[in-house]
Amino acid sequence: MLGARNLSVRAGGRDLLRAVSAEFHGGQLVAVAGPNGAGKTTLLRCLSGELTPTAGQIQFGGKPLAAWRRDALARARAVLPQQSALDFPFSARDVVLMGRLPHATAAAHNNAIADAALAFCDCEKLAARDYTNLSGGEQQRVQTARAVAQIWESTEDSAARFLLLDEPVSMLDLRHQYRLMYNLRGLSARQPIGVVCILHNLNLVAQFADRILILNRGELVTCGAPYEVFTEPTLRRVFDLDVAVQPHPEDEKIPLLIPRMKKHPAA
Amino acid sequence: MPLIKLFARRRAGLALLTVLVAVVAWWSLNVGVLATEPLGVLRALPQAVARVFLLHNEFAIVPRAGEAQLITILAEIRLPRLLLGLLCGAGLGLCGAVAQGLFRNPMADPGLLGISSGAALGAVLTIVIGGEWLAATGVFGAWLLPAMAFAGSWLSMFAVYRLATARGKTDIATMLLAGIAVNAITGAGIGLLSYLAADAELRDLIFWSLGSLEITDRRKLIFALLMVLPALVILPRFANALNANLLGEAEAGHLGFDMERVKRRLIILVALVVGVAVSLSGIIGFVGLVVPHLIRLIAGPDHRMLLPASMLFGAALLVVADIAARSLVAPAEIPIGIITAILGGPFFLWLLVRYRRARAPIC
Repeated sequence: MLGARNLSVRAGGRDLLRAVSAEFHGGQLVAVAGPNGAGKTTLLRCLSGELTPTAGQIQFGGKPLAAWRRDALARARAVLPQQSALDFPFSARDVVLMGRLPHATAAAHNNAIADAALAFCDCEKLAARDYTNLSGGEQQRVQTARAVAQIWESTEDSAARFLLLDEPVSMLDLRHQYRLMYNLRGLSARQPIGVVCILHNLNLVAQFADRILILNRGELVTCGAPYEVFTEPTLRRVFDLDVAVQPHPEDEKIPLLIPRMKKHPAA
Repeated sequence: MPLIKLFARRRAGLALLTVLVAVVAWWSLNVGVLATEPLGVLRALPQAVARVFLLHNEFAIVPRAGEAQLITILAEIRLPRLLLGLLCGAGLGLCGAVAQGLFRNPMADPGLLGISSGAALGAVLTIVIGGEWLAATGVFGAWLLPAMAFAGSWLSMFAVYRLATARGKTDIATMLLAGIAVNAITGAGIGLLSYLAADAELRDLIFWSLGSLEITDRRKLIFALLMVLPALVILPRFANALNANLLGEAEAGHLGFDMERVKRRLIILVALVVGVAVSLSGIIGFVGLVVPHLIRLIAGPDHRMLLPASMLFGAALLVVADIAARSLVAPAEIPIGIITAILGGPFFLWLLVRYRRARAPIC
């Protein structure tokens, strides 16, 4: 279990997060949604241990996150940031293999996992390519594969592993968006892996997330299953957008969100 | 190209480079006023090595007939010079590669960043202020000079790093400008001090700005080896951390590396190697820039290969540069920094043009 209790982050005279509490469990895909500047990335950076909150606590696997050894933590959770700084001509495969750096496993074993992670993100054909020559979306898939390779196998350090992804589909084409989300949900369903995923495409969220956490202005608005939280009043209040919510024609548990163009505030 | 395929295999590549270093070193020992027979040099080498390291001129083993002069020349002149060249070349090549990984930027180089000139200022300051006293204190003096150079290189590297890096991102323009500023300040300091100083104690300004591998005090060489060799062994162990660092500082943290600690250690180790090298050889430019570039071009950016290969290739390159410095206008000698700049400057321009055309990142 990865849990945040009364998390507050204050920086530059602004509250980036205000008393946010949330729990994440292995075997679930949780989407974090909200408008720009809502505190989504700040929450993820706190959960990953990159940022120390001003107040509040993070618990991971029964102990405070700060009490974890760095290397053990790296075996139990992987993080995909919004953007990558990598500007050296590694092959895509070598980038994915960096996800195996925290593990003391044999090279052949790591290679096999890198291949599996590449396949997971539909990057097999990119394996030998120079990372710096890949397109933005291809680079994003390779980086995701790196994070997936990092927590591919169970570890003695923690019962559940976590994958913290900050907008993993922001540059992907539609097919790869669906494919990645489908695979991520499959991964979390098969193993005790918790996926926490910041996403902007709410229909994608509605289709694949077990639970949704909606943030607005640093505060937790609501948390629950898609059909519970995606209601017209909530969406109007949080996103300032008039949205029609209908049951998905193929699965009534999935809400289908259709923004109403005519009543858009800009119109 | 088959050569590239060979380099792709780490051990084969490193073995090839080791052979290159050995051949170049052998060649270097045969260059000089006294004509030597290559195999004879090899035979006389063990005794010459013993004489350098035991600091003892009347070594117990009686040389074979006719070898006495050869051993003396090797032990007094050529071998110390070769060892200093290997040490400085290995150190500068390795430190260039480490600095580039640390700054996440292929333009980083001990010379451009002002690390070398910071070391030179520390050394010059020590000589000018403590000149006679240094000469009188013997062993302690031999330690103090490299130690002060180390302090100088650490200060300038720390300053440039702090200026150029904010929130885990390094700004290339700030980095290079900070390097220019540090170079200007230390250059002025060195210039002023050498102007004020009696020239006997400072040798001359050219030594500090262009370098030389001439070494008269074997004791200093041994101290330098003792200080630098451990750093040369330890630095390649940071290969994985540097690889992860290329992804970004936060990402390296997520992969389990304590980057604050890694950075502190790398800065100290690089400053130590560069500081000690500069205190003995002056500032030799471009080795730290060109060597990792060439290795990356052939073997890729993986630090597990890049670090040891840059070390070996740097050693070979500097020894060759020294052979050129000694033989082009023999019996006079060109400052070695001129040779490395003649080789390195145009090479670097060629790299810039090449990558500009390919619209690829510079590395």
